[in-house]
Amino acid sequence: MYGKGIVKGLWVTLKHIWGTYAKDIKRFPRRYAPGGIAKRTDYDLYGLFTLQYPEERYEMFPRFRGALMHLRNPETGEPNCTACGACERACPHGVISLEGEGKGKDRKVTAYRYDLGRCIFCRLCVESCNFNAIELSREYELSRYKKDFILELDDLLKIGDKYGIHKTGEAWGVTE
Amino acid sequence: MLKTETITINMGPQHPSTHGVFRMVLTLNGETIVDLKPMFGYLHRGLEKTSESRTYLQAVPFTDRLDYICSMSNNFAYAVAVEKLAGIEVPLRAEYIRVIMAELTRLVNHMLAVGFLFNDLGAWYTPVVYAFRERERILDLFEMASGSRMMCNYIRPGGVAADLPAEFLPQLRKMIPHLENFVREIRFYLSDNEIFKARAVGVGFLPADMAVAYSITGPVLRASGVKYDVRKAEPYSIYDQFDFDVPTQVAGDVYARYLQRLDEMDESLKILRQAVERIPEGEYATKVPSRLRPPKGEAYARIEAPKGELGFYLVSDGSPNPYRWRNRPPSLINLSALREMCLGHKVADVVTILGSIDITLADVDR
Repeated sequence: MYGKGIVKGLWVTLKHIWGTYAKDIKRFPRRYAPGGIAKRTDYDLYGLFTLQYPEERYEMFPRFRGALMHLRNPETGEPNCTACGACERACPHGVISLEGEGKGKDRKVTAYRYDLGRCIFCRLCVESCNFNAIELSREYELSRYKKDFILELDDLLKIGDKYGIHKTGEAWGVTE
Repeated sequence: MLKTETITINMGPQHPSTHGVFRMVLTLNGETIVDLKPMFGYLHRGLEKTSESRTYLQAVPFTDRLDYICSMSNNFAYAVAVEKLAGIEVPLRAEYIRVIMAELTRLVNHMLAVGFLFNDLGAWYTPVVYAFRERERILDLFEMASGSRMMCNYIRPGGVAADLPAEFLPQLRKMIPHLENFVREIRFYLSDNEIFKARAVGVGFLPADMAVAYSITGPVLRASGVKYDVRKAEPYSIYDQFDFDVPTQVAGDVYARYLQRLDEMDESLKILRQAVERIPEGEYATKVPSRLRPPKGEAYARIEAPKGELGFYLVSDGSPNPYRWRNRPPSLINLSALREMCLGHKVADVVTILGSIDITLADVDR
């Protein structure tokens, strides 16, 4: 009786293969056109489709949690960070260490080290920040050729400049 | 009379069908299993002890990593435990969001469980890919809401991390009929498959009394015919306001566990439909201090995670760090009955039975 089962199974497979091609032919301008990948969860898209990764990329959701970045004050161009140390205390893994100088309102960050290799991207540091100083970026290609996983303040500011935002939590519906 | 000798072999720890680093010491008489000893601990990370030196909020990302397939459920269980310990009230909208996330997680888990059961049986990756296609869409929803596909860190003590994004609920509403169709499709194509039935019916039988004696929970218990579900037995959150059944099977074998998971997916979708309709506007979280100091005492909270009863036992001594942080993982306790299920079967059936229990080794070893 096993022969029947195999034939039935192959028939199902064949039907599925044919079904995919049929749908693809029916909607001829295939979704393999540029812009077709904008909606990645859409059920209305049919057909054969593979993302050609290095050339094409998915748009990350606004809330995507990638590498940490530092934000600048839009007027002065200085980093918003006041080296209060809240992120350092909030981090479950001790990924962040920082130094600052000055007292009260003049306090500024002088060194900020962020260990990318140990970060678990939980966003607790950003939630603890009261000065719009840090946010998680949408960077996800974080591999390195060398073991330089520790990012300094300049590297983090560079990532922040790429995104051009000055407030944390805009995508999360929380702005302070 | 042919004289045979038993031999002892290792299956694992690196074995394609053990769902992780898991070793079984099998004593065989020919092909028949005489004894089985599960060996685990290869993935032990000491999460319980690590969490004791963190604050209550800092331990939330660690719960993601207990059972990485259903991280939202782990967050949920931990949040319920902390709320019980500190006496925190949760807004109604947050409760609805939690229920939606927990039921989506159940769908994700059962999709993988059913898919990988077929993978273990030799239907190499065809059912899994169909399951993955739907799972990926649910994970996209998770990413939209929480920023990460699997390590969500979304459900926190006091509520959820952030309100749902505007496009979440319309997307989910659109998705539910497709998910129902997916379950129907799996039933139609796989349930009557002769090869699957020959491999699954009558294999890995677990009688109801033995399941209770081993304190098995979740789909494995219900497939043995015991109608027990924490959502009904001890309703937490707002599960008492939803209309759903607890499906059970009679047979208690691999096939029954497979059918049980499909039935539970239907019930999850039923809950999701109601939750999406009724979700109110309002606050998404109560303000909880980041260095929460619960009063002295202890709390045990349990929820019905996709794999079974997931519990957290927390002891507070009044300081910001928990004095004891204990986790009751469903995978480990369901795994304890593996020997009883496997005795007398062939080696190839061990793979099937292990797949039907549906364990995650990160949850077993912690």
